[in-house]
Amino acid sequence: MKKFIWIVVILSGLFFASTFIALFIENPSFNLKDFNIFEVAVDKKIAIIPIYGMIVSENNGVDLFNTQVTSPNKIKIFIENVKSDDSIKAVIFDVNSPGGAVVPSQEIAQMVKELNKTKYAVIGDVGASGAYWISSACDKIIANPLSVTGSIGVSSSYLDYSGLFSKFGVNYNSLIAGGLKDIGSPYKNLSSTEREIMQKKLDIIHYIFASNVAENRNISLEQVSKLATGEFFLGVEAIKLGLVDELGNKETAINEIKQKLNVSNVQIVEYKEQKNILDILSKFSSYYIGQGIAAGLIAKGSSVSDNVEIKA
Amino acid sequence: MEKIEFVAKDGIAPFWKRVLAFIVDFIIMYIVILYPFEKLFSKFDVNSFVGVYSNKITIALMFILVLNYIYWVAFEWNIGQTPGKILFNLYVAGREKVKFEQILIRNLSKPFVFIFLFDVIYMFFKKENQRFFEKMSNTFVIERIISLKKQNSIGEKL
Repeated sequence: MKKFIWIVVILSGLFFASTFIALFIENPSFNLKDFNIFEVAVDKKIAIIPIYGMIVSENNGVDLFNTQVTSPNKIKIFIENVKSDDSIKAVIFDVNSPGGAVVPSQEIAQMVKELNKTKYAVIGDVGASGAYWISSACDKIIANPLSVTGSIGVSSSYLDYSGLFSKFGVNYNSLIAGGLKDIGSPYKNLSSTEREIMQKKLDIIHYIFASNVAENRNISLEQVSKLATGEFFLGVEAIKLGLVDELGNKETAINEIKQKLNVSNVQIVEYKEQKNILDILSKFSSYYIGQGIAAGLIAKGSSVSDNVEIKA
Repeated sequence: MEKIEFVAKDGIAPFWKRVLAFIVDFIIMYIVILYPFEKLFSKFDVNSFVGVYSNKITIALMFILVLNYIYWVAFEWNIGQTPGKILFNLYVAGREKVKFEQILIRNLSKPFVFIFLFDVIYMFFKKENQRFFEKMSNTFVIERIISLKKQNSIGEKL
């Protein structure tokens, strides 16, 4: 009986202590700088949604170094959450991405465009290509003077091993039904006809990319086409070309939004991928590392067209 | 007339029982200590160690270490067992009555994963299944086996 009482007392004590400590630390007013423990009720919020890393179709999050990626699924969850919270009056997309695959870039840009709240894109080190496409869907783009942005273009490059194979007497036997089925195969030369066909596809994607940017930024397509050479621009250049609206950072965006909302105090809500404590503790486990290596080694598909990836 | 006695026999706790007891304790600690911090940790970006949450996470981790330590010390000092040990009839014992300082020393490695690993590896080199910090504190984990002893009225075992 004595043991039972001790067990109950100690476990309850520890549970209440943990709960109290966790709540106290989580309190938004808990700030190491000013130790302000008196919470001020704030009914206006600004959401910050990250657009970090490569833009990909699926966020499996599996690679050896756990590099961040952005996927439409992840952004959709964040945006749905923002839509359902009336206290969130504005959204800042925190952009630090070199771009990525075309389809997810377009999907995310569309989601951002359809979001019916004040939207700012704040570009950090890089907000280029697909990431710029997404940024252009916002009401305003703020970039650092030295941010890398622009790069409005499409690339689809791959290695051609045919020369290497013929040196070693390796033949590639193409058995296809449909003359262009193995277009883009790295095991054979790209014929001029095939090159023309692939180039046409890229041109279509390029046109759609440029048109979207022109529409989003309220610039003529002709003007955007002149800039859409794939060249990247620094922030100081981009502002002159009309690709960004202002030079600054997240604070600049927050202050502007506060002015717009006519408030002095807002709560910042940062959206991040949910990790629980076991994810954090297991980050460097051998299983995780093994999974990353295996994922890198497993071929995603056997079709030769998988070797051709179109990136914005 | 039959006389029935319970006889307790103490022996060094087998390694596998200690492991299972530890797993049970870990599960209980997860529910009682770690779970309340889940919401805070879910906001943490594993790739970023900057920003307001890094300070909060650091403070939270410090408290977790302290609460972890309190779990082991509070149970072993007050009842000589943790909940996991109770399940497997294991006790903390010393050559004499166990003092509070001994309990403090034997559990020093528990909050720190890498130190605890070294502590456990040390056990494989000791016949008494003693961790390094148990050796330092002069304590053991024993198993109490309770058996039934029947005797007739003239003391013959039945």
